[in-house]
Amino acid sequence: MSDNGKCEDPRVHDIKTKIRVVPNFPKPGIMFQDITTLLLDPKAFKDTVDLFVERYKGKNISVVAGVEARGFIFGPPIALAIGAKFVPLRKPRKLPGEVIREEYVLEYGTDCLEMHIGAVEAGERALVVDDLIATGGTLCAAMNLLEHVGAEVVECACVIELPDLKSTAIRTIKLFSAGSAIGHLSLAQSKECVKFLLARSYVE
Amino acid sequence: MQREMFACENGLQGDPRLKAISEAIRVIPHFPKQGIMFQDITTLLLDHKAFKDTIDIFVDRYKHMNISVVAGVEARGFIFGPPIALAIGAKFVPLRKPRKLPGQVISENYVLEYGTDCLEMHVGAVQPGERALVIDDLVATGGTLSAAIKLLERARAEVVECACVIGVPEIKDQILLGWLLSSLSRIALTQVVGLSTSRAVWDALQKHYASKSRARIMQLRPQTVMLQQHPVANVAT
Repeated sequence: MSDNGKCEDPRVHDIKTKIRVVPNFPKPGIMFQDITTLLLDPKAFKDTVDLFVERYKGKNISVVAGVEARGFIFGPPIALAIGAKFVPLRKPRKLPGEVIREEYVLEYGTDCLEMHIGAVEAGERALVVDDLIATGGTLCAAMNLLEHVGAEVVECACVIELPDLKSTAIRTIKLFSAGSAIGHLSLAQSKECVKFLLARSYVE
Repeated sequence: MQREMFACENGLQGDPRLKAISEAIRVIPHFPKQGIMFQDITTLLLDHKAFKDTIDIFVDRYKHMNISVVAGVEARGFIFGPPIALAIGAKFVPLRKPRKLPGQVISENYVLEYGTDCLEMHVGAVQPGERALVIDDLVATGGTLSAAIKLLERARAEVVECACVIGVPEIKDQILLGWLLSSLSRIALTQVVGLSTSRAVWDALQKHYASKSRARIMQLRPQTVMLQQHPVANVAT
């Protein structure tokens, strides 16, 4: 759990209660954090977006990159409110036109994230948005894509953090082959160069 | 089954925002396969003002319609749906491909050009009597939207409208085609089996019947020349 040194915002409690846990999905042993129930409550959904907007408005962020598919739900409202463009980061072969790709490691096998060439320019300040961070693998792939084109990733914003993130991240470092992804994770651990903002709405 | 559809240009003639929105959408030829001109909205999303204007146009239309549900079709409907939902105070309900939604779902199959696909919605997301909007980036054949409508109606919601950023011209043609086909006799229908546009149907019918018509005219012309009026008999005065 990340603590920003302040008391919990009063809106966070309601947001927390709106997220439901679905046991054994998508497979036995996984307690799935379902944000769809949050989306059914207009006030709680709005509060979630507002928390992010309040943090990122006025920080000269020109790009909000959302990870398919649940990052597409939270990213655009934030982008619209802070005056940034929205860039979808997608699974392979979904984006038409020219793309760059980043592979990342899963528990079993690998997956891949793609971004349009030309969507982001060098020097732009970017935010990455997803509903949840677990191992950080997807977010690292997202960061790599943005940095590959010369953008600066200011922060990764997620609604939910899984409590055992840090221990999983350390395991993930060992699983990744040599590459900048490892560097980012370890930087996050030691220097906090990449900070993860959480609305602290994970459910036990 | 006719459904009201709101494509950007309908009822918005002359809205100054439309030009920039339209120009921001790029066309990618031959994606995902040969012959398809793909309408790519990602370039619209890169233009903050045009993206905001797109949302505002939908919000202006729907904010006083007492809509409590915005249902977005995975995945590009997830981009346009939530900002609209947030602005009009409605909940957002994602309609997803199979096995993505956790928990209990209802499923609706629909037909693709080759094969079928399936859309799912959470049980309990929508209550009976709720007024709903369906959102996707684009309507082509209407197959996906029809499945979306069915899911909402199975939950006993009322679908007020389907809103899409882009209306591909083929959809209007499909409606026209449907009318044409339903007006044909069985014999005429045999001439148009397998044709997929109204233009193709029209041309086929013209070709087939025009030759017969010409022959018939040639037959009739000499006969009309030969016609004589018979003496009128027993005309009462």
